[in-house]
Amino acid sequence: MIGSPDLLAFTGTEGFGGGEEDQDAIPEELSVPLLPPSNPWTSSAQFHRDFILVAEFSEQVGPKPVLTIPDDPRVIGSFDLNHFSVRIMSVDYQASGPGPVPPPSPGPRLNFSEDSRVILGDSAEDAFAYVHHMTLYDLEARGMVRPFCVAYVCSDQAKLMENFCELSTCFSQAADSLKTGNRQAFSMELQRKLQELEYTRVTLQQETEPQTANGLTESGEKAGELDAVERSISNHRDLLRQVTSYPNRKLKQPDFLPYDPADSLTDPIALLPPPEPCPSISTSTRRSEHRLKPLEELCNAYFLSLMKEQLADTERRLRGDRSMLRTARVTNLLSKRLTPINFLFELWSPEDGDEEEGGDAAEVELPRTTGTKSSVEAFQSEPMSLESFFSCVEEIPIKLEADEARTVTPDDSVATEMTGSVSSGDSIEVLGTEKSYRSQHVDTGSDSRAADDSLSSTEALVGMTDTSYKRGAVDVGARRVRAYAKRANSEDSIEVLSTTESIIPDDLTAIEEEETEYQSLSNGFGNKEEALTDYKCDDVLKEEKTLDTTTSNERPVQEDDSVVDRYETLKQITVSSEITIKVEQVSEGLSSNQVHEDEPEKSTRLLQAEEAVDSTPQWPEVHQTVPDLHVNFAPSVTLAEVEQWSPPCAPLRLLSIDEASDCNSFTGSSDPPTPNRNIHSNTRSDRKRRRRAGLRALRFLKQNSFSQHAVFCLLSGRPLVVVGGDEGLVRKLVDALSLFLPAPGPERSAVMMYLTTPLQLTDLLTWRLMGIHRSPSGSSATILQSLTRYSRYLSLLDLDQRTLHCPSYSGSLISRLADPNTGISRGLTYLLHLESCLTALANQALLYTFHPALQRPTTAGGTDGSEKEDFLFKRGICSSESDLRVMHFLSDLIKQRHAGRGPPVLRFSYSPIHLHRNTHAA
Amino acid sequence: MLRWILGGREAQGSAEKSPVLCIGEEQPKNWFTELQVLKGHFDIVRFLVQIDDFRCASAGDDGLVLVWNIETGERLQELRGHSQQITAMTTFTCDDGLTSHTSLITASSDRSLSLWDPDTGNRVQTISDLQSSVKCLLVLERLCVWISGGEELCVWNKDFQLQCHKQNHSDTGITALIELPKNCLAAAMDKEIAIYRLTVSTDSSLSVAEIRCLSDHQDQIRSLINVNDGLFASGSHAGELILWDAIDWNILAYEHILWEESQACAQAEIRLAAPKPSEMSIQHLTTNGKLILAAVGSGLYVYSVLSKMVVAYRKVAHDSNVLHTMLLSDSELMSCSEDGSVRMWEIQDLPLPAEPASAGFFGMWTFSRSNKQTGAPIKKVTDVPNIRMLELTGDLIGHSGAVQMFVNFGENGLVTCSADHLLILWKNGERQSHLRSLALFEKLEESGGL
Repeated sequence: MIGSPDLLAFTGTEGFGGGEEDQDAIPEELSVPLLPPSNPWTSSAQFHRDFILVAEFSEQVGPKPVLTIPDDPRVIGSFDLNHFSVRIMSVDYQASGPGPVPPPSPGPRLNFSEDSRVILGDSAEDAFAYVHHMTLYDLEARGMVRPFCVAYVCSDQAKLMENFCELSTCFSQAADSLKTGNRQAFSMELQRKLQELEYTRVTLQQETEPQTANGLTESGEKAGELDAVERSISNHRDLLRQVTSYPNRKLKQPDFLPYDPADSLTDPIALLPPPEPCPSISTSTRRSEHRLKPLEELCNAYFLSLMKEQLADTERRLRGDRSMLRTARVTNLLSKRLTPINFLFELWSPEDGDEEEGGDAAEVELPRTTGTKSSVEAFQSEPMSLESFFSCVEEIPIKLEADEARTVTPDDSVATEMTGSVSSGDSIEVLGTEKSYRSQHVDTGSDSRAADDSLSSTEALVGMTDTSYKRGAVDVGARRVRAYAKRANSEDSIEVLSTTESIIPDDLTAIEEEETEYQSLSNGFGNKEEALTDYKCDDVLKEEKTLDTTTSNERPVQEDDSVVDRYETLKQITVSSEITIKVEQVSEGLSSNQVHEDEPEKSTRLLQAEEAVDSTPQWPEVHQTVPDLHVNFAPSVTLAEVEQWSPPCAPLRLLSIDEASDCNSFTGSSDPPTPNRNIHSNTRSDRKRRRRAGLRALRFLKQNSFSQHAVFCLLSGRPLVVVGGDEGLVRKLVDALSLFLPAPGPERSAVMMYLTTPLQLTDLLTWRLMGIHRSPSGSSATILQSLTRYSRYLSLLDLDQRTLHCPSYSGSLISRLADPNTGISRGLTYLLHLESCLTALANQALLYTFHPALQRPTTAGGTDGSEKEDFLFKRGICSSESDLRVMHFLSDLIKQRHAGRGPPVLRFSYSPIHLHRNTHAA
Repeated sequence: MLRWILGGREAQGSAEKSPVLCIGEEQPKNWFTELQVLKGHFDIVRFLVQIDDFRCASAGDDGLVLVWNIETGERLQELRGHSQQITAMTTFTCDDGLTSHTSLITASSDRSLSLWDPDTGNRVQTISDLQSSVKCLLVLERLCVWISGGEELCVWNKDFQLQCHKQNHSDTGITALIELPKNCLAAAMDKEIAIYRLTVSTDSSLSVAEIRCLSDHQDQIRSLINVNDGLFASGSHAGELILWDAIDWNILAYEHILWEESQACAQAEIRLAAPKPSEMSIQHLTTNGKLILAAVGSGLYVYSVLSKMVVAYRKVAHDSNVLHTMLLSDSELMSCSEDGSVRMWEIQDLPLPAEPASAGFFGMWTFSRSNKQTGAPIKKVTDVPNIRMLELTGDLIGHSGAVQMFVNFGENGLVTCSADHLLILWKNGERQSHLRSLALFEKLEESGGL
């Protein structure tokens, strides 16, 4: 069984283009298997979500998993990683044929074999994988090669097929990062080895010279040794030459770091007195144990982290099932072309193009590559002088020393480093030269300062948030210590994610909901999983969890009001407790880290509690042997979040003030990570946001009897104000409702998450969806008062009183897209449904706007309104006056967009406002 | 009504503060369903002048004059030059046979006068270092001269050359100027109206002479207008409205607005025993030749020139002083006020006394306490059959400060200017949508498809 994986597809380096076309060419009905499983939704896969597995064919223990992305037991489930590693590594990974034929030379040769890509599958277990095999170099390994592979593991074979191109691109990128880092590490290892050999040679020569006069036999032995050493030196030099002169074609790629063989091989190195401890650590100790180097030592830390981020990014981008990915792709493709109306609904964003395949992908990836390039250029802009090269070379020994030292006297090193360094977790990305590193310090500093300013300007933050933020700022100092100490080691950015409070609740609900649902439907191991999660989660999450179980349980049953009620009350409770607990948790974590810095155990426990909360991908803990390093994880919340916002592929991208401040403000207040405007800069978070917004929108529809009126207001252009005492709820609802907002504008400029100044008329022309936090301190009173003046133009949704003031809606248009009795129960499903409805609506608006017979009257004064209405009524697009207003508004938006001039226009109507109470009792 | 936002207490407070009727949200006769906000001023905007069918100039305390395209809402020109607030602005159309070109004349507190070309934004002429700042401007297109009034009366030709001037004795100076037949002028100075005559001598030089002083007003004259060729009218701070013969300057009618009937009929509702002068002050007068509309305090007062009597009025038409009014037609009028709103009114015949007031008719008042007050004049009206109703048909809410003035561009819309530094362009949404549609199709034709 082990030896017989069913090989499904195989491609060389040319890619899979043809294959995919074939797949598409087959009519849909033919590609359905003849004997479909009884339930197409069941899967015998033992993992719960797609993940990425990095495995190695270890010469000592055989194939073994190295890391998974995400590193979360809830994702991997009971899936046997070891077994699967054996299967994917048992493919002849060098089957793609030999690489460029190396020139015949006497010494050992490095075989630069091309990577191979295959799709493997185990249909019995429903585990399929796209596997990218590669080899890394390790001086101490057998044949100096270490076979590795990166696999995208998935239970749906067709998903792999459909996303082959993207997988191929992303994995190649990640593999290139890894290999580049490996070459760097390998060349450093060679350098070190050479230094060691030179040193041996010098000592041997010194020993031999005086001895030549004394005895011949001894000198003969010594001479033989010397010969061997010199041969070894030449061999190693040759290897170094080979690795540094690695194919020049790679030079074009930004990830590739060239090494000048001349520089590295010239005498200065040899003449330098070699640092004694290094060889002893790097070679002798290791030799004796013959321990294989872990991945972290095989690869330059920067490139390793880059690879991990690239893989995590891939995993995130391919999250979700086939239909979703496909819909997204089709939506993007079509929306991009449909310029007349593609601004109407937020179905795509230009940055979303990342998900495009093929030719588009190349274009879109341009910014990312330039991003990486800039970092590399930062590397290269320095002339590759000896000094700069040395600093690179010396880095690792120094780090190793530091590590060792720290285990002995942690406090000293902390103290010394505390004084000097002013950096953050960001620094990992700009490793390389001390110069670039320093410049990063400055940037980070200014960023956090700016964040502080903007933070203080937002008055509405409650005191708790403020203090916790300040604590975070204080702790930055402590954190910097670690950032400095471990900057060669990039895990911090990822691990610290585990404490990002903001991401947790919703993200988890979304994921867990899906999971529980999945479990309840499949025959799976729900209980086991649940127990596991409960064990891992803290109290807050337990509540959330039970909540979600409630929702998922209610699903198979009829929509029951009582269930909804129960759910709702539960939710209320949770929401309040959630916040308090979370805030406590943060502050506790912070204080404990300040106070108990010398008690690593406690902090670690805390950290683990928080880690368990996390649903974002994590890396396996690397430095588990150095527990005191954990101590600093928790306080780094703020900066870690900042880090999280920056796209992984553009390491040098600086955060805007907005983003930074927003991230910071979330720290203690359990807000969704939806800052004012800037979220769109990040496709991933945008998608996640939309997914969560979809779920919340669905809940809003189901829980509020007036939901259709609210949606009508948004669709007919009447500004909607959401007022509530709970800032988080307001934000969430605004976020959810923004899905319905036509023409949200670039970066959703038509949405005002959080109104802090009294409303003015011009605001109504800018924002069509606003949130107001009704603070108990009364600072919001003036804002609320300002609403009364413009009550004619507004609709007001009061979360506290559960009322909505707006014109009433009647008609059929909105019930299609916002049906409170919909059978849809998953947020994601609803999002897709909504998107398709909105697309249809936009198309109808397009038709209506550009219908020549209706819109091109002979005279400007001629009103053919009735004709227009007939058009809409007859086609069943509209069935009421309200529906007409929606169509008119959308049509007007299109007209204004394409033919409008002058300042923005607010269209309104003098329709009676009604007070709608939520009849779905709380 | 507004209780939903603020909770009970504030709503009650606001109800007490605004005893004026409230029209609610349903306004079928109000066709202003679209608005644009024109930003550019940074102080109170006090003056609006229509340049032509699609252009309008605004000026205010920031000394800026802005020219707007009211079809699109775009700012066309920014006329900078005055260092202090603008005190008067008018258009000056010089018709030299073939072409007529409209310029703008502005006067400012910096004691300067400027002539602007609104097409290019150039300051064509300027006069500075006047003895006093000019408070009013009058253009006599027939003579191709214009007159500035302040502490002195100056006559200028189109090239900004001073033709003649006349010093005044009054402290307050000339606050309003109108043209009368036979080359005469009427100038309002405090409580008096001075009549001047312009004489063109044979060498085409002009001279001005005061020929009469009318001092029948008891209080300061606030407003002075031409009614028609034979009549002009003036209103004073004490609520006196005097109709004058334009040729022999005799009083034709004298109306003193005292609102005495409300004292008699609705004593319970009266907040102050005697009306304050400001409540009776005639802030603004407009006419269409047949009717004179007077803005009296916060009320409106429609006076028929023919019958020489009040045909309709509303004592409390706004929450605060009415600043500007306009008669749109014989039955429709518009007013704006310090309370930040613009209201549209219709002069309606009352239902027959026998006919019970239907709930639908008065329904819109029932939710506010104001129905009692509005009930008072109605009761009175039933006794006097020829008095008609002033019925609120719509209001425009948008400004957060006093609406100083408005200019009506007919079906193109309405421009209002306000103390909140903004101008608002009110339009018929349906018409605009239609126009945009046309523009879109034009653009499509130009570009040849989507």
